[in-house]
Amino acid sequence: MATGITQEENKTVMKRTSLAILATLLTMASTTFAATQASPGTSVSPTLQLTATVQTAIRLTLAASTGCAFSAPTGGQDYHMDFGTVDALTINGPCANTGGAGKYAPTVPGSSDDATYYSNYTVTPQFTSQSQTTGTVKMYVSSNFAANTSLTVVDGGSASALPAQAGFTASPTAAASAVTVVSSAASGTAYTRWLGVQVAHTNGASVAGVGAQQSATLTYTLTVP
Amino acid sequence: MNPQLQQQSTQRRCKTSKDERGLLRLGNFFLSRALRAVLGFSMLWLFVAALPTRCAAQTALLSSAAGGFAVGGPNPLLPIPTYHAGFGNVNGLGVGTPAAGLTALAVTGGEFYYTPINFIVAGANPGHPVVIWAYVSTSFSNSSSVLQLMSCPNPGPCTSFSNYSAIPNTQASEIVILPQQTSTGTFTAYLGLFVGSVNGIPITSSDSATIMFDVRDDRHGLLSQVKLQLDTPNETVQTAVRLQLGTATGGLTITATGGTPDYQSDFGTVNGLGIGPAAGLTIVTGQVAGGSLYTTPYLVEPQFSGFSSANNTTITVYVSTNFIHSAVLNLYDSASSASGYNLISTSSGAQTQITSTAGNGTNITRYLGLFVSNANGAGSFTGSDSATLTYTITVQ
Repeated sequence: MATGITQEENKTVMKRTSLAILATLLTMASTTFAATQASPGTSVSPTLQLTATVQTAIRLTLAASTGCAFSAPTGGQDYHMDFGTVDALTINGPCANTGGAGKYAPTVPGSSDDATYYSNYTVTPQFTSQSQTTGTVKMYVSSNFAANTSLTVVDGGSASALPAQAGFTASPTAAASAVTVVSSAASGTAYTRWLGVQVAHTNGASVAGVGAQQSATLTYTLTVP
Repeated sequence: MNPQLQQQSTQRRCKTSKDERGLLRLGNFFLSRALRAVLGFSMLWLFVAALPTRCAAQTALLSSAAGGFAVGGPNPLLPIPTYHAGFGNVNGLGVGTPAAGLTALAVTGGEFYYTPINFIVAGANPGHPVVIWAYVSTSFSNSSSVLQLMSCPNPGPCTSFSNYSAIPNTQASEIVILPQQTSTGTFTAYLGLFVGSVNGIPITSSDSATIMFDVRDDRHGLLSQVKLQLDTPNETVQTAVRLQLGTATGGLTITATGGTPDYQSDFGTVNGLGIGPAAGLTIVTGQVAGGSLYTTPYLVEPQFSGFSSANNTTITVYVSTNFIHSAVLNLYDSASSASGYNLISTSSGAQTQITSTAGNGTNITRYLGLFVSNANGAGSFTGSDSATLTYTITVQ
């Protein structure tokens, strides 16, 4: 042969080549596995892919402050504040003898303006993953007192300090005219606000609901634009 | 075992041949070379003539069965026909594809490899029924907790580990692999090799054993033998390691993909307030400020086998691919559900350690936390994002 390798030597080379290929295949067969396992081997590294979809979130929390206590609601509402027994001469109450709750007596009891029982509370807006960093909290009376000629829901608007008697104004009873409670609400901040019940000083045919528990429902709306 | 039989013998080692050998020795002392030749020829004729009546033990050949491992031989043919086969590379976890002709089953305490094998029986008839018995004449170097030969007798079924019995190491306690047959033919039985998932004991990597098959005339007590040396290839006990993740009770579902990545899990919709966590998730408060921590238990399942020493087996994890929005989403790890959450490392060189004393087959309940920032404005993000954790088990 021109190559200088004898036929016998060539056979030997071929045999060795075949054995080498077989050995390689056997080795590969014994070591090619998923990342969760190996043999032979001393270490493997499986992977875990975690996926999540981040959504915007928003929450508005009301809570009692230093005034009237909150109790469990009975009619499907989220919160319940009870002013207790009230009257137009401010003889009863207030619900708590603290700076957070009180009453404004009429200027001329029984003949001129009305009595106001009031309490503070907190409004805490929370929101995440929003493009804006502030929102607005508004409120209106979604369900008024049945005896609304004698009882009126009043609020202190966006004031955080106790308003004067005149600072308590009748809360709107339509969503479209909801009053702003917090105008530039930051997420996670508890804002102190004031609510009240005004008791009319009137007598006669317009008087209603005397002696019976009256309730109204306020609806708060947090909006993050 | 037939109690009438006292010694192992091949067809050519029965009493007839003993007689022949005794006379020939006598001839060495007293007879001339010519006379010895004549006598020797005569005795050979007598031996051949007497063979069917005095030494009619049935014989058996071994051969590869369809779908079984390759059986070669006999080599040598004498004094006992010796066949060769082997289980090759094996491990206690059944990792990898078994050698050709072997089927692997995961069984309690290890892995079981089995194969069919044919016995070609000659000389059996109603007057000379045959039974083939098996015992291990040369044991593995490894202990039986590492390697144990087993068999399942004809006609089976032999596809379940419970069908198999350990092949004893002594002829006195040999077991039947082919029950009584009264005709010649090819009969298939099964051999199996249990490989224990054990660590902490010396293990001989390359090992071999020999199974002796006693082919017995079940009526006349005649015996012939064939043996199978499991040395082609040898039984090579390899190390094996496996790390799996699993769903814990009450936790988020972890799905094995069969591809890359190996596992996936979806926290679903999340938000910075922790409102409405999906099933399997719990909001843990007081651990990370500035958002919500969604947590889930899950299982880390280490397995390893064939290691002489494995007392310091570590499992680590790191975030190999982080969330694109890593300012909003982060991954935490804890050994307990309600506290102890630490940010998982994002560096392969400084991974978060889960344990330094992992046990083979001992699942670890771990807690994974997904932190979602409550940021708003320019740093906020809504939408889908993903990250990849890489777990590493190292047996050492």
